[in-house]
Amino acid sequence: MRKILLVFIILISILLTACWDMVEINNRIYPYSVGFDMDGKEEKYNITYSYPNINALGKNPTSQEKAFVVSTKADNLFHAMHHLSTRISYPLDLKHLKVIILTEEVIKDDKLVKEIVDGVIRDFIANKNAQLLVATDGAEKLLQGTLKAKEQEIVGGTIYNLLLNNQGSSFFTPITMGNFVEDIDMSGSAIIPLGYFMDDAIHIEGGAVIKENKLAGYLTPKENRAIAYLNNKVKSDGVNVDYDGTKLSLMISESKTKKKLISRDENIKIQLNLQMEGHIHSFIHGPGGHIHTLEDNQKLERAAEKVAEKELQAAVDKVQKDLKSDVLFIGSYLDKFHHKLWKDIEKDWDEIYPEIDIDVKVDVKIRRRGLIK
Amino acid sequence: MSKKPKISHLHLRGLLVSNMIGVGILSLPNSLADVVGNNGWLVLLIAGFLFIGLFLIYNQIFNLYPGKDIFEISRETLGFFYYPGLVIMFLYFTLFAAIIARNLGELIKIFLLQTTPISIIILVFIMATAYLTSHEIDCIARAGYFIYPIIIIFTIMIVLISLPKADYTHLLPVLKTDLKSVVKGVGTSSFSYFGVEIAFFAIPYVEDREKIVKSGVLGIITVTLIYIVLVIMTLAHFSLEQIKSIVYPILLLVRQLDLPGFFLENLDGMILSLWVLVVFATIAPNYYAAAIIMSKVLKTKHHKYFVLGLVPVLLIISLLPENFIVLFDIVQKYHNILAVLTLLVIPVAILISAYFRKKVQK
Amino acid sequence: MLRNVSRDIEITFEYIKERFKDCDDLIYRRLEVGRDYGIKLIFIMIDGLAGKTDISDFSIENLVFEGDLNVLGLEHYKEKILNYFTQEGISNFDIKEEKDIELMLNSIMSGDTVLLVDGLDTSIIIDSKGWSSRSISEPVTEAVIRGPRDGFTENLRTNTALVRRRIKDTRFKIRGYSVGRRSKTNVALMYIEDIVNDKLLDEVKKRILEIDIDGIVDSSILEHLIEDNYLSVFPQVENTERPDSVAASLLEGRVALIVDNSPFALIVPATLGTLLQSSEDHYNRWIETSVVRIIRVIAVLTSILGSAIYISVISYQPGLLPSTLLYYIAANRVNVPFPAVIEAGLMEITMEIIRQAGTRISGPIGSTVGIVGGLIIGQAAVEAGIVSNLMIIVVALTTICSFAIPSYELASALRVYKFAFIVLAGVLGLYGIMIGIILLGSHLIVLNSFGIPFSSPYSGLGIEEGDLKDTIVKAPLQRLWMRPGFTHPKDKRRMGRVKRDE
Repeated sequence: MRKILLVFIILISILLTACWDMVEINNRIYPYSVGFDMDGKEEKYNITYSYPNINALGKNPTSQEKAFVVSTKADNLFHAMHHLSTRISYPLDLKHLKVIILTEEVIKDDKLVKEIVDGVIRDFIANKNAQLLVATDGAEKLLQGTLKAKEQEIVGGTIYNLLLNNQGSSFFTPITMGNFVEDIDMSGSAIIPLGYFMDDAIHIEGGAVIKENKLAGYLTPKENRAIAYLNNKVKSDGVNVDYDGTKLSLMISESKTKKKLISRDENIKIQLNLQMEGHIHSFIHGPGGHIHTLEDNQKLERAAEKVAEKELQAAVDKVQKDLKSDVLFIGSYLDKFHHKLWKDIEKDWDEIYPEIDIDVKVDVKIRRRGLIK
Repeated sequence: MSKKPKISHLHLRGLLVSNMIGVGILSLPNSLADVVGNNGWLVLLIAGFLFIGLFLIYNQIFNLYPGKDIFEISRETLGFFYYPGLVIMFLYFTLFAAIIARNLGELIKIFLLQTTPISIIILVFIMATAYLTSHEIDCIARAGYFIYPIIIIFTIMIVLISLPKADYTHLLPVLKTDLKSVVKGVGTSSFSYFGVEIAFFAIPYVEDREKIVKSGVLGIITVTLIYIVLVIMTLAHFSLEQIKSIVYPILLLVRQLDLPGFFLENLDGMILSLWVLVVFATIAPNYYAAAIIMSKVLKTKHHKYFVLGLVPVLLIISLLPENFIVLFDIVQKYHNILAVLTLLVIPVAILISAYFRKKVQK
Repeated sequence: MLRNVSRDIEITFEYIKERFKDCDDLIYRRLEVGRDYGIKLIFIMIDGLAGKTDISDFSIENLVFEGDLNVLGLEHYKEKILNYFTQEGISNFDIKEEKDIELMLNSIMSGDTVLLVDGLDTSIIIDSKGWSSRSISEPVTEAVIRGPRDGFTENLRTNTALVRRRIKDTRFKIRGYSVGRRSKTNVALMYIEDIVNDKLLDEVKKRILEIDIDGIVDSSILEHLIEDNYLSVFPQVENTERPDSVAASLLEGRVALIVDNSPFALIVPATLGTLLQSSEDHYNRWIETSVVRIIRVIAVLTSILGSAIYISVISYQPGLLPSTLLYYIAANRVNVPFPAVIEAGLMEITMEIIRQAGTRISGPIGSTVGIVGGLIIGQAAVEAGIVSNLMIIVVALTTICSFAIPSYELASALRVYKFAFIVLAGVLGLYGIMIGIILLGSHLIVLNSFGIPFSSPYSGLGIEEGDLKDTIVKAPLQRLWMRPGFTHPKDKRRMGRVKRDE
């Protein structure tokens, strides 16, 4: 009995001197976005955090401003947190970090991207699911813009919500930190969406192709969509086709791309088979615009295929020939399914890749024609 | 009460599973990827069969001497080497327990309690374990039996939340590794199967002897399956390069996933908490084994006092390595040698000697 | 010191009076019957314990007006008189002779009437226990919607009768013991001979006989004297007010104890599984019971861990929360001056005080206390900004959850752990909770109840006998044809399989 008491007293005395890590939930600041701008003087970056003002939330808000944006000059993300401790009242907690915004200059340097990514991935707390975004005209400007933007979302941040709301279009493809690292590991290249602030609104569209940790070039929204189709990253999207002088709008509800190695000789030939399924969104009402027969339907399908193939092929050519980036994961496809071939060409892949033939084939299926014929 | 503890064969299975699955599970995909790339499941399978064989050896020892515990048997068979054998085993179990404690401490510190001193984290854990350890094997086995479903739930949870985003093409190409690295991989994965030696202390007390083999083998198969599933799951999520660079792929896997509906984000905290229980079930039997060996060496009636005495010992040993790299070094240098001695050399020696003696007697 | 009843009535009577000196509740009646020779008789009883009308109507009246005595011949009357009294003179139901004076005194104190007859070396004990007692009423602590409404009373015989009425089997045994040097409390040990495990029965008997105490005032005292681990906060003996629960557990191969003057029967062994069951579980349909039991497990976990998890999430691991919820909680806590531990500790203690106050005062005032305490203090605390409104929700929830646990003792035990968990969570966050779970789990694993693991039927024993069929999920009754295996019953089968056309 006395022994137990002794142990108990020791335990209690240890425990009572404790509470090392206790920081109340309201005594932390949870930035939801962080932006990296180049500084170039004493410190490397100008780092900008934006975080919600919790005083403005809840039932009886005591404050008006919904979010704060603070900037500091520092060498890295964590350094910046220490710098900021002289200015803001509570410690920062990066567990709920949602968006990491990199400015154009940052991704032009191959070391910097690596550095930032490594910092976040290596850290124990920082959220690995944070979305990446490239700001074409400055990260700080973009973050300041969120304050002025008309469409305001308090919790989670405007940019994050914009990134997640990619349902209707595929003009940009959100990518998380984890996915980015994975893509880089698998193919050496990745696409990060682009964002800019204009006319009191934040726009996110297009993509920046990163190759070997630095910028290889930009994709227009349409090119981005094409790549997204080929990487099976499109949930639903619309396609507009000129058909007999009228606009046919197709709603694509399902799409799937399969890669196929056609020839493995000197000239490696890869075929990308894209299968699309969808329904007609709008056509033309009235005589001549009816779709009665299977043939009509097939005609429409062929027309759509043509348009899509053209668009996709153009995008593929651009990333392959101009940007020389394997964003379509052809290398990793060869590694997985044609391992022997891959072993032979693995070393020279960078040279081989721009030379191979990539063929895009699209197969459109119109499943439903809507409520009218 | 001096009653002989009794355990059922289900307890044995639970004990084996929960003792074998421990600290290694979080880093297993990483260490396997380093050696055999994406064919981790193959070496795990091979290692699993090896350990089933090992388990059968253990069982055979007790079949030759029914009703006797490991100490009585080894005293009879090992003769002069009885005490050195015990000391080796003691060192093995103590070191194992200390390494587990340190591993736990490190993980808790970096993921949950960043500023709490690691000594406190470890001390609290060892003391909490000491309470159970000061009881007999039936209680330890029962604890293992309780953790068993938790491990299953742990695995199922990880699988369920990672299923929707899995990409199984990562597993390709299959069987494209050379034999040498497979052999090496079997060695690496064996570390994850350490813990099967707890059967020494449990088998003699199992009530339904005829079910021991079935239950034990099933236990090892369960462990193998769990490992394979987890390795495959991580492979399906990360690229091989990534796994090679991530220390705890399973934690990161959980971390990168959100439960649908966003009720809980960042599930790593929860998984880590569950994992504390899993580690508890690993450290307790080793701790118990160390204490009971000590009490047999010094011929005392009860191992309770050694449990208390081992608290500071374990704490100090676990705090000795300066950092993680040193910790891994220690594991590779000393612990693996001790493990080979304890898991393989001593039991085989006992078995051979036992056969020999039986023949001489006839 | 008188050992046996003396033939001289005056000696015996004087001795009795001496022993009962200053006991004003002892009453006696002297009689002299027989016209010719006048046999001296003395009726002795304790006022209030014995039914006076019984004795007056069936004994005294008979003797006074009985003509036969007069006819009794003078010769050998002393030999015949005993026979006469036991056979004809007294028409009460239960009569026995007692020579030992101590036993006789015990009978007096148990409410029997002693008749001393001059010239006899034995006393006649007439059963006249007839004190006023509470009538059978609905059990207060274990109300059920479906199921019998009778509950035990303070009377041992009434209680055993209530059980006997449910098991009309000669193999159902009720053994009497007298425990307590001074209180001499009657304890009835009940079991079904050919079901109960002999080891268990012997252990219970041994523990009862080992008791050396001055008095057992209530069955809880007996419970504390026979349990395995007196340091544990967990009850290792189940108690119930319901005779149907007792009968059901007897049929499962368990042993029940009824203590005189206590409406609570004890059932051993008690395990986690049995403590989490309510008798109503067995009366409801299986699917309903299963759902209720799952909810009960959730309630148990919430009642222990609710506040602790709140603390650890708020103060240590806010990363666990989804961002939206996180900002909401943070906004709610902006002006709370205390850390979450203090906040939780404060509110939990307040809640305990309110609960105590509510239990001590019964009736409408009690509920007023609850309303004033719960509603007004909680509301005011939030308004004043001392605690956050989420804390109030959590504390209220844990308290409500603890009421959903069927065993009051278990609920109280878990309440103790709740505070331990709050401290642990306050110090080490989630890790502290896990340490607490390890300790609590270890304790549950280590604990035994009469040689049976407390964690049964989850302990891994008896799974092959289908013990898990009646745990968190209850199988349909027609599937529960075996008795629970953890009690190691001699007769394992309880039900013949019913074959019915589907």
